[in-house]
Amino acid sequence: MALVVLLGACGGDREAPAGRTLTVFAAASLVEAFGELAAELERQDSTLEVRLNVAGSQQLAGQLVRGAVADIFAAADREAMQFAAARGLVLEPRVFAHNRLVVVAARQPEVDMMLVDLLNLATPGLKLVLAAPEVPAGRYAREALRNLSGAPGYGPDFADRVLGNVVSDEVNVRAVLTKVRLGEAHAGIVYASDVSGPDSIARREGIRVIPIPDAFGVRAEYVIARLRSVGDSAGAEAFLRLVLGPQGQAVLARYGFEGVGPGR
Amino acid sequence: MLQARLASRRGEFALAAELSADAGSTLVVVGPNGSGKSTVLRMLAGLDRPDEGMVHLDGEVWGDTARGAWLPAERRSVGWLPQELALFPHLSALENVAFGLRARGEGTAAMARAREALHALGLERELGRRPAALSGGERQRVALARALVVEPKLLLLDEPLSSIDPSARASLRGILKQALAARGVTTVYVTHSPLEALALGGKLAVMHEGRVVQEGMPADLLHRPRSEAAGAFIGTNFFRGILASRDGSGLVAIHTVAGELLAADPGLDGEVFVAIDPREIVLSREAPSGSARNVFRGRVVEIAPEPPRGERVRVALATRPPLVAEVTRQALESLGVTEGSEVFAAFKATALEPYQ
Amino acid sequence: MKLAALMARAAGGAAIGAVGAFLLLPVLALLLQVRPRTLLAELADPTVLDALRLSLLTSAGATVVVVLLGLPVGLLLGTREFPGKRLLEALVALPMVLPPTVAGLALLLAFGRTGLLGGALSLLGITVPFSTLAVVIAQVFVALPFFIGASAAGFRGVNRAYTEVAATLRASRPYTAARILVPLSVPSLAAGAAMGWARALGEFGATITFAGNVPGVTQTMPLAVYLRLETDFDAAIALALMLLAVSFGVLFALGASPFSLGRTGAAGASR
Repeated sequence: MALVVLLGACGGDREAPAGRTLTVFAAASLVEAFGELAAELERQDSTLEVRLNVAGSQQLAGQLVRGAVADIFAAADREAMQFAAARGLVLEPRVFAHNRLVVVAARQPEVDMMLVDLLNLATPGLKLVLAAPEVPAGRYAREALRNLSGAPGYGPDFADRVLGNVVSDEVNVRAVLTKVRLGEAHAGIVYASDVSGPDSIARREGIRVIPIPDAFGVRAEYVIARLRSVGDSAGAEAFLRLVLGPQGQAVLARYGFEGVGPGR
Repeated sequence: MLQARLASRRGEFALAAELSADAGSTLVVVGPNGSGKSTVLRMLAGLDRPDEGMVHLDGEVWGDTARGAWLPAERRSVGWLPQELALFPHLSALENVAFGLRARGEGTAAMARAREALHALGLERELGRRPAALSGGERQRVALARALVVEPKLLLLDEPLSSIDPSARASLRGILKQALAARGVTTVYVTHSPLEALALGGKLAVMHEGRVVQEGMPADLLHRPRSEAAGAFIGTNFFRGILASRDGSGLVAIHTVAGELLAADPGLDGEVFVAIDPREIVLSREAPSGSARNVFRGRVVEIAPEPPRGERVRVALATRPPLVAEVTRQALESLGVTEGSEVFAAFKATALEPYQ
Repeated sequence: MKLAALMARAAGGAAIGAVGAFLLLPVLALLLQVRPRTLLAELADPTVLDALRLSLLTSAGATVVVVLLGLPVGLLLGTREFPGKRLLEALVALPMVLPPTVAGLALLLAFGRTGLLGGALSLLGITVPFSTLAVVIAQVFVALPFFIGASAAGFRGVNRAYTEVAATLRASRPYTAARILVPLSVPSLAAGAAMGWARALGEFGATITFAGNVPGVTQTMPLAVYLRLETDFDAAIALALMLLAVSFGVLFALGASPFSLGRTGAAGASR
């Protein structure tokens, strides 16, 4: 009995006047960009309320597979989307943005000396943090390091030497940034979107960003799709149009993502 | 010698007590519950601190608030038996007694001395038992041994017999008196029971509402209470009045707040006290025709049987002044008196000996 | 009257049933979800065993530190009155209300390489973050209030007459604490240690922020569960069940839980 009351109380959120709600499950790295886009959509259609549920892509996929109700799913990699698609939950997944990896370096004199370019990632004594191999950012980072090992001047054991400098496999990419911010680690590998944006931490605190050249860098693919069991298909379509349209792409670009171009 | 002056105020309750006891003697502090007896003990022990006061023992200053000094318990030399005894429940009788000795670093000797102390109180069989496995009297003796074994200069006993089966109190009181006499330790013994206080035989201090209202030997207290509290405490009729007039026949009139009494002339003037033994008061339904000069009429407000067997009863009367008479139940029944009856109470003027 | 009493009983029964269901259903759901084969496979995974061993070792170590550090504070709060006591109580409770990740951040800012004590520690050759020591520190930080609270409550529950008698017997405060207060508060101390241990074992947020995730060094079971969730849901559940079984087994075997707090053993009986 008490349970029912409790659950009832939880469900009693305020609704938009017409009661139309669009639920968007979005990868954690999208939080700022999608927040802006959600507000934009609500401005365009005042009867619509957009709810963002932000977490790791794989966690979101797991939630969906276990019966969570949503209208839109935006994942930070194909695997998470594939997980949901394999169970017939989503319609027409589409890539809507790319994200590059960058090296971030702590703002400390010793780091300025130690870490000048990517080659220095293998310098003995450098404290490096990566995302854990289980999460996309960690997978991409290791892939990029392997790519660099094949490049002239780096040496075939480059990746191994760099991995030997890893002091912690953080559980998500934001934790990597935190460790670098606090100076606990000298450097880390994160998404470009984590350190871009109009009000990003990197910009405010002057964290040094070293890009990984396109030739070696791995581009993370962001995939978006409507859920098959979508409640408000008009709203969902409107959100997809916004994200893939010029306005949405511009917003994503501002937060450090690479667009896909209007034609794709 | 113990000398103490203690004053404190806690909310409504004000304490202002002065006490003294000769070295090696027992001072019995007696009074109703809530009169401040336990607080006095706690202050003597150094567990509580008065707002103002001093404690001197055998020339040592244990506390003098004027000098900002008040030694805590662990820096005095006291044995304290709280009412609840507070034997350590997880320790055996022997370990309880040895506690104080071990605490000051006596190792094996502590156990031997503790054993000795328990033997002296007849507890050789109970050494290994925990308090829960002991009878009330045994617990009492263990607690006493625990306090005595450290050879305190001042022993403080708070209602030591209150938790004991009444039938065993007399014998335990005997053991207690012996132990105290043998040790020659200065003792303050707190009780609410007049019977117990008188039975101990030492100097008494009667406390009432935070004050010592009378100090003296038992006989003095019994015959010459000097306050309503002391009078009520020993169960006698007590009045305070002004000696008013002499009529030449050897009698005097005493004005009390509640009425006038005639008494034998004590040769005093001014304020006097009188105590009227309830057994001296005679009850009757008709106005008495005898020689009694003090006759009062009033309603019976309460009839209470006297322990132990109720053969005598205490009759409280709404006379002016109010009186309590003690008569046999038989006499009361033959008069046909019940609560609410109108009666005459009479007593001889010679039964009253005013004092100051 | 009778009807009201009946309804009150029914409501009480319903509440008990609801709580029972509320607590048991999620555990049951986990149990139903797990496949024995997955469980066995995970049990054979050395990284899982590493995490499990690390969890048990660090939480046990943290519990020892918590008891050693917490006892004096519990004694202070449970037996003495002093100015600023309420302030200290609030301060001690702080880690309980602090979100664990914030606690981890605070620890980094204090003991991290660039933290307040970082310089002093590095002079001593100690680097705390990303080490097992950091895991233990995080666990101690979050578990300490549980033990201090329980022990203070235990000490407060000991009849004051015992310590007062001890004082008149001229026992020093430490002696009285060791011989009277601690023995009489054992059930509360055990309950507090059990709660602290359970909290340390389940610690995630402060650990991940302060100690990072280094397999075999700082990757405790909760971290392993979290990471498994990223890749393999079923495996994560298997790990979670393992953690659950171990902690339940230990709490049950020790007979120590938050509920032994009220049991004061010998202390209460002879009041």
